[in-house]
Amino acid sequence: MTSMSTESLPQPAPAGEISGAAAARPYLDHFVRSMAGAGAPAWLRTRREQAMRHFSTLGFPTQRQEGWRHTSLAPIVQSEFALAVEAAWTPAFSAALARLPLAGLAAPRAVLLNGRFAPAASQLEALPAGVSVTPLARAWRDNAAAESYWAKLATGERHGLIALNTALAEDGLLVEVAPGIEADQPLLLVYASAGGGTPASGGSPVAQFPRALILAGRSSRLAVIEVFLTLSGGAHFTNAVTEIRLDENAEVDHYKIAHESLSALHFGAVEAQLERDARYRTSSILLGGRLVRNETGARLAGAGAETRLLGLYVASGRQHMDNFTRLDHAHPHGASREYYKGILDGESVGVFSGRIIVRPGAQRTDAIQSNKNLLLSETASLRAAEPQLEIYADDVRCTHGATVGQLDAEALFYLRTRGLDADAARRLLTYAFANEILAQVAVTSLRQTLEKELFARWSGQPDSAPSPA
Amino acid sequence: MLEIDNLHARAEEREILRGINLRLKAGEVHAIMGPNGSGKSTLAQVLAGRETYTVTGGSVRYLGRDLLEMKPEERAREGLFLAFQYPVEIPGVSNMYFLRAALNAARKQQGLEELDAADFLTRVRDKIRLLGMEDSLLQRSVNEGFSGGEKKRNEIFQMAVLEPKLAVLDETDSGLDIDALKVVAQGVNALRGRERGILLVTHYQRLLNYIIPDFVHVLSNGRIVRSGGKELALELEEKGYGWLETAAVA
Repeated sequence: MTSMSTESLPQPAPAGEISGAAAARPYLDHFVRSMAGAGAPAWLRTRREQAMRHFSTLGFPTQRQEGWRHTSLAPIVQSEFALAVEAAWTPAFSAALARLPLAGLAAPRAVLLNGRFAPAASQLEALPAGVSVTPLARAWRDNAAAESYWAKLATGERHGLIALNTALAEDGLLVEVAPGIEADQPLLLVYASAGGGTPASGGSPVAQFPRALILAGRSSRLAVIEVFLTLSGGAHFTNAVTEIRLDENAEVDHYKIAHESLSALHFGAVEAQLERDARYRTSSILLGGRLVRNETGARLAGAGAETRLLGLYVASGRQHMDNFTRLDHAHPHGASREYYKGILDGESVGVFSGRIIVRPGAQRTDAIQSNKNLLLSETASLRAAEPQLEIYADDVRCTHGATVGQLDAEALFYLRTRGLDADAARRLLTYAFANEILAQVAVTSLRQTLEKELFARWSGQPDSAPSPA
Repeated sequence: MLEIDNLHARAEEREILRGINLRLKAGEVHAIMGPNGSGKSTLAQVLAGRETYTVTGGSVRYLGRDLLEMKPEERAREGLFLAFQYPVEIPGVSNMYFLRAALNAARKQQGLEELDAADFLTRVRDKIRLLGMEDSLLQRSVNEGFSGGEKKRNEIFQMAVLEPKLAVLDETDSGLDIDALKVVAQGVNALRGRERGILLVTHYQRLLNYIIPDFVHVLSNGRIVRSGGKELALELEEKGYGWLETAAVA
């Protein structure tokens, strides 16, 4: 298939009040335009067209759909976005980036601007030997691994937003770690948005569809940090999908930090697959964005694989942060640990739902899930779904727990009897609550940056953070 | 230094302190003893400003000021220290940060310059040794995973660093073995001085073998039913609290 018209696509299903055909139309139109005359390889065109079909059928998720009850995508569905605004990297962006501590971590970095690789801002000379980073736009053309693995874990077959990303991602990053390579420094992937609300975008906010594929070879090791930032034009829609494959005995320490503007709309999916004995740790730290839906999925596809999911979501004002996790145990002796913590202030809303699937034959699975929330105001709320456990094996340990609470009155009094005023005591305890997650960030420079950032947020002091060693 | 007059306090609907009178002068060590439920800990907590208790009558003056009007943190900054019976664990906050924040809050109040991490360390090193603790304690979370004895020791360490004018120790000796008790006593004795007052709340006479009080008071049913010198503690050890409780009711 070399060309495709809107007519040949099925029309979007009438999926309720917020995701009708009208909402999907601009994306379809854009898709048709972007495919016309594109020099993409046939396999890629096929995959994208399939994805666009899925999106046309599924549309945007609605609140009537399982796993979406507490989150309305109306702000996305009802907005018009400028799609794929090409912004040139400018010195002003460099300056803006330099002011953001998370972007300043000492590490080789690849920067995407509105979903496209920005060579001027990237620093990839010092990549560890055996680690390569290739813009997807190039890898799609000449890297067999891209054809083998891209959009295989996250296809969008059952998920309209992942389908949309798959159809519309025009670039992204392919990260490869060769077998046996233990990267001695972390890799930083920066996803920056810019140019919304300017003449370049016709005055509309921009939508971007960043995409990454990370392939960790057999017995390799890598720490990778994905940071999402807004450089200009506050409001934008980010739809980001990251796929991570861990080959046998590989180890990946992955961080996703969503730190976009307070008017940004963010959907993200991080899908990982672990082969035998692989070890995968992922941390989702949500700090920015008006509406954030972050999905973290891991499939333990080989015996003895281990995964740990950490999450920290910090919301205030009218922020809405929805965390969705899915752990799929498909083989025996798998272990998963899931610790999510939320700190909710103002009128913010936090959502947590965690699914654990233990497939037939996945004996001796050991899964622990915990979600703890701190409400700092009477108007903030947490909406937690009942834990969704689907267990089809009989020799399994699965534990879960969820709490919602306020700051400990006993601890507040203790701090006050030591001379801290009530406000300072509250802020310190809030920080301490977050610290349980931060303390597990293994990349020291990242941990320190986050500690500083969060401590400053609550204390107003840019001073050293009070974390224990 | 501390003048308590006819102090009444209740927790919810229950009256716990029913007219406490006590005078403590700078340089003195007072011990308050009494059976469980007599109101000892309530008195200590009310002095520190615990909001779960309501003062329903009487007054407390501290260094000439109305103590009950002051917030807990103001009391602390003015040199009042409470060593907790059950020190609170604060995971995620290092002892070092916690103590430095506490010390700097007091220093700010006194118009002194705040200490940076290096100055602070120099200042606390010898106090750590005094309490027989490891330097690494400073890097650990406040009381997290500490044994009962370590928590109590940490309270005395905080006291040693903060150098309060009036220290109230709420059953700091409870649950300590004899070696830990000696260390705690040593910390308290090191703090004794002409300008300081110490109020020891204890259930056991044993502590008073190591910290010799100037006065002993017996609290029963929310009132001080007997006051005397250090010999009173020995008498109590011999006879128990029963005879005093009977006397109080009569």
